[in-house]
Amino acid sequence: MGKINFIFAIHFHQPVGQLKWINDRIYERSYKLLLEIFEKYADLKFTVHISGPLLLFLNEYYPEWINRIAKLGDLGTIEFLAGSMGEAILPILPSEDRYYQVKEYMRYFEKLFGYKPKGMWLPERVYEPSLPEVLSKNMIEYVFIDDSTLQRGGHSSDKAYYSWLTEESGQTLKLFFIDTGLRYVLPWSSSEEVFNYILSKSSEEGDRVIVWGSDAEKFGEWKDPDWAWNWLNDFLLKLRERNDILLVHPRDYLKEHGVKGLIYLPSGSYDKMLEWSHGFFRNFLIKYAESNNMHKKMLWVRKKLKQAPEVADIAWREYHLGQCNDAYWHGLFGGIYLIHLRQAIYEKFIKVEKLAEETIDYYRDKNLVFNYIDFDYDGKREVLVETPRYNIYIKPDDGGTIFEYDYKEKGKEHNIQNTMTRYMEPYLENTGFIPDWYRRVSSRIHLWSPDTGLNDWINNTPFKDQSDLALRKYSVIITRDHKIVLRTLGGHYVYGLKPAKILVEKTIEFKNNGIITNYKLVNYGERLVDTLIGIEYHVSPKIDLINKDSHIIYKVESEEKNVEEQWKGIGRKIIVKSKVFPDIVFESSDRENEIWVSPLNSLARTEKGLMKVFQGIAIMFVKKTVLKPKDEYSVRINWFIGENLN
Amino acid sequence: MRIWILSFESKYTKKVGGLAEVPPSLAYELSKLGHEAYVIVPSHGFATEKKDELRLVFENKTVYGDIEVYIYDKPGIPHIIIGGGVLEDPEVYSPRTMYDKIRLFSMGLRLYVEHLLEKNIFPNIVHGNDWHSVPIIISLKSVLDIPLDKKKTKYIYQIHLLSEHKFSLEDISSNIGVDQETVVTGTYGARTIREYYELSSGYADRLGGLLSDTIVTVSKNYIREVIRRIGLDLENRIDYIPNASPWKLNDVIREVAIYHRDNIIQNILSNEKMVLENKHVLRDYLLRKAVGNLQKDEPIIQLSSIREHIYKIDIPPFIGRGKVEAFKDYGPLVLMTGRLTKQKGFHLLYRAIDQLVQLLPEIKILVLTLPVWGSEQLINDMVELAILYRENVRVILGIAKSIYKLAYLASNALLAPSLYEPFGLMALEAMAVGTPVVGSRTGGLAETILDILEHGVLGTGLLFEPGNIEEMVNKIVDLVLLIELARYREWSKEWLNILYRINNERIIELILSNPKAPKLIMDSCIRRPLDYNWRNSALKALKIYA
Repeated sequence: MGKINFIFAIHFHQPVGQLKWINDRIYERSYKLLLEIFEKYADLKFTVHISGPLLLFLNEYYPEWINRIAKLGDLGTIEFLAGSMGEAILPILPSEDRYYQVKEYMRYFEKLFGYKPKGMWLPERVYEPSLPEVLSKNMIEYVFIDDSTLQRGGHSSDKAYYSWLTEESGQTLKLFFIDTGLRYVLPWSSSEEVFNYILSKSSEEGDRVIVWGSDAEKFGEWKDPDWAWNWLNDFLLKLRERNDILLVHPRDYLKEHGVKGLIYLPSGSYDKMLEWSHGFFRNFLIKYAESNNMHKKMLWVRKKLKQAPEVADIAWREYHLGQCNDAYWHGLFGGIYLIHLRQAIYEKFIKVEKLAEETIDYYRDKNLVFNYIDFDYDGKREVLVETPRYNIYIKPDDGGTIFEYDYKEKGKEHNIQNTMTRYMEPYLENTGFIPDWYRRVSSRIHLWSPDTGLNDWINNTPFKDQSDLALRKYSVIITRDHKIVLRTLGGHYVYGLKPAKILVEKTIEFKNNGIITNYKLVNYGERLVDTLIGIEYHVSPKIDLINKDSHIIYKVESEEKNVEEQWKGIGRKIIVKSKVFPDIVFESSDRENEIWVSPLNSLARTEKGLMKVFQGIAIMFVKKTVLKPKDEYSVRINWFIGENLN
Repeated sequence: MRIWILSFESKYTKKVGGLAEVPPSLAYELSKLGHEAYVIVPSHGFATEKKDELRLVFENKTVYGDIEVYIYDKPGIPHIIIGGGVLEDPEVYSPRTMYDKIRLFSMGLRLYVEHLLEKNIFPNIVHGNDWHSVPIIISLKSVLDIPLDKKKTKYIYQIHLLSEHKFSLEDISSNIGVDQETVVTGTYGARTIREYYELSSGYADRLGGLLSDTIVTVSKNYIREVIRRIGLDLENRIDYIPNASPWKLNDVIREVAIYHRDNIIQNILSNEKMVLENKHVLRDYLLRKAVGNLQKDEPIIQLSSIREHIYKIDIPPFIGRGKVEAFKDYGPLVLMTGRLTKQKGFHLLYRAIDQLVQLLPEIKILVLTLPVWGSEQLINDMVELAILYRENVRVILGIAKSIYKLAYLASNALLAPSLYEPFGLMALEAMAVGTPVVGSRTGGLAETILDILEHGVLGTGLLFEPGNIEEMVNKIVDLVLLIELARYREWSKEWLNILYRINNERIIELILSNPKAPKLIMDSCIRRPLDYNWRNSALKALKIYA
């Protein structure tokens, strides 16, 4: 019978922006339990990684837990792994940030625990061949990646049971491979089955190592805590008795056996991540415009930060926490579909942006700064309008829409345009779900067929929009009095009739607390255009991350509604109210237009199955009209934060 | 020497593009040098319209229609006009009738030559221009090159614009009444028309080259392009005759004064100095008044199908019938002219407009362009451009003589973003009236425009890499602002404000070291076309003819 070394690496992580009551619940059900297990089996060897964001949370709210687990480190029960401060996917960051993320984690860990770890947990195990250099420069000796990366590199799967050395620019890094098969049995099968699996990889020489590396929350949060407690006790009690499976720390393994040889590997991650991302993590930035938006906001803010060398360290800390991976992708958990996670990312970036702007006196004697740049790196330019109080980002080639609206007031930082488009996901196929055909942002114009109803709009009934205005490219003119004029010449299309040309003009004026948009639509066709003009907005109210009972409502025509309710009727004004944010107000100049309001919910797969997830409030100002040739419809819509526009 | 210059258009009969300027201008100088030069063109309806002014010299009937040959003396340079049948279709380059016209033109001229040969009259030089002239050259060779050993006529084939046009063997033989087995002389000696056709694979420009004694183009730079396209075996037979600008500042001022009777404008137009010092006043007048006040029949659009479409457009700033509203305010002006084709780079303006307007919100762009066959998409793009950027852009599709030269006179700069440009007469015309040019570094533009970054105040414009929108936008902004400086007192607040909006440090340095630079550059512009005059071109032609 052979022998094998076994590394049991448990990864503790909660994202930036996690709701406090959820963190508390997971602490109670899982983290406390695991600590008790570690203490009970202090003679065994566990490998533990606690992510930067969770370390900050635990240190603030549960410092005793930190003290107790640190003690287990001192006793030699636990070998801690380092990480990236923001649990960020390192390869998608600017190279300086990759370095800083690890350095900052080490610094913070050392502050709490008194020493620096030698190994590191790679966030989501996203590996790219450029990483050895940056990790090695941070004195990281080894990391854990997935055995699937070996296969992608054309290596035999047997190599996974040794440690290997890799190199980039002469900087070295040792690699351990997490075993996919083991992740599928531990803890979901009996202890015996797990042992059998482990032993199936053993050798007579006893120089092999098998690694289990996965989420701590599997013990107590994913399933009942009692079950986890029992399973772990059974497993560890039996393991303690065995001499063919040797629980080791990675550093001990390397001291004893060293590395097997040199290896070079391609990019990789764990099997499921490769499936969700179609083989490459960066694909998420392409699939989800919202992910790309946050990522490019990061790059934009970074430019400002770099101009402000004297800005406080805390700004950089916040910036790096804004790189926390969870909100940038979607897999098993909500990820990018969780509004509060995205909210937290924007909050960090806006806060940092404001600090940088103040430090470098960004506005000098101006109230407004216009940037006409390719913000999202798609080869086309966007208009970024910045004021000391808010930012408005406009995408001319996507229907001339507003895709970011940052409120920059200290303590209230929030992107009220943090709404999410509903994309097709593999688990939504054959469910009747129709994905959004345009990004769910604001100031988009539709010409709906007259029989269109509120749910047609929300649920994307096909062929209801009879124009191409929603997706057209708009021209951009910045006027001498600092307004932005967006224009397009589109069409109204009805089967059997000649297309009618429709000229649309949006003039945006920037006031102290928000914007005025004057919309003008002119029928330059040769026929009547019988339509519902829809001017669409989406808004993301600020979620209270601390208090569970803090509800969001909206007020329309003196009726108060819960965000989960729809409303339709003649109206001019709608106010979105959150306890943690000033009122968000929409006002139309047309006394006769209708307002349609609906929650914008996505269906997301979570650990608890398909769930409706709130993504924001959809609001549309609707005008039923028949435009004769040369007729024009004009309306002014104010959109501001607080009590008034000025 | 009797010189026959074959062309598909002439400014004295029917003009569509720049080609219409060249043959009559060259012929005029050749005749001044004592030669008997004729311009030979299809009628395109001119004979029907102006019958009274023409002298019928020959008539015949062919299977493709009747032939009428006229002499037109009025312009001072005699034109031989081949008319009758399809040649009376007024649309010059209509793909519907183009082949029929070429066919009848070839046959008609051959019949006329046969008639002249009876009197022992024949041309010493046949100078064909562009691909339409190739079947005509072949048709003439079939009668003039007999006997082969006593060749009477020398053939010059001039390429103004390379064409991708391909003929079928029938196009150049049976269809024009010539047997494909007829032996003619060319680069490879005496061979049949069919053999020469096979050597050319049907490519018009190569065939024209193979069958001529010398191939000529219009600029030194363009020779490279021509060799690449017509074949390296013809390299030693290529030369160039530069075009020239017939425009003179004084003439242009006089012509503009006829159309614009406004007192202030008349006063400015009283002399050259006033004009050069008050270009911004002319500009203001053009933008806020003249653009919106075209003559009743303007713009003239020759293509009837396109005319109908354009006349219907009434979305501001268009007000129907191809006319536009004037601008509401003043701004520095960029002019773009020419045939509405991709080659001229109109699509680049379409793609650059947003950046241009962001960098220089007050900029005005005036596009005076001639729609041509196949330009429907570009027409739509240009119309959309004017509608979406109505604060900045006006587009006039068709001929608008009343403002054409005024626009050259009043602009800060002419934009010539051609993807390729054999000569680019418009650049020389702009310079002739003191307007510098932002042009792409290609063909003739790269020769006529002297880059300010290289030549300082002796420069006449700024060059950019063809198709490079970023560079084009920056150069437009810089040149426009540079010329705008001329409006203000040196070192005044306004002057400095404009100066520091210029991107290019070297231009800023140039102005700081010589605040009169804008004025000096305008003067350099006026001097530049003096190097390109038709006398020099005619002398060069005679060298080649010899």
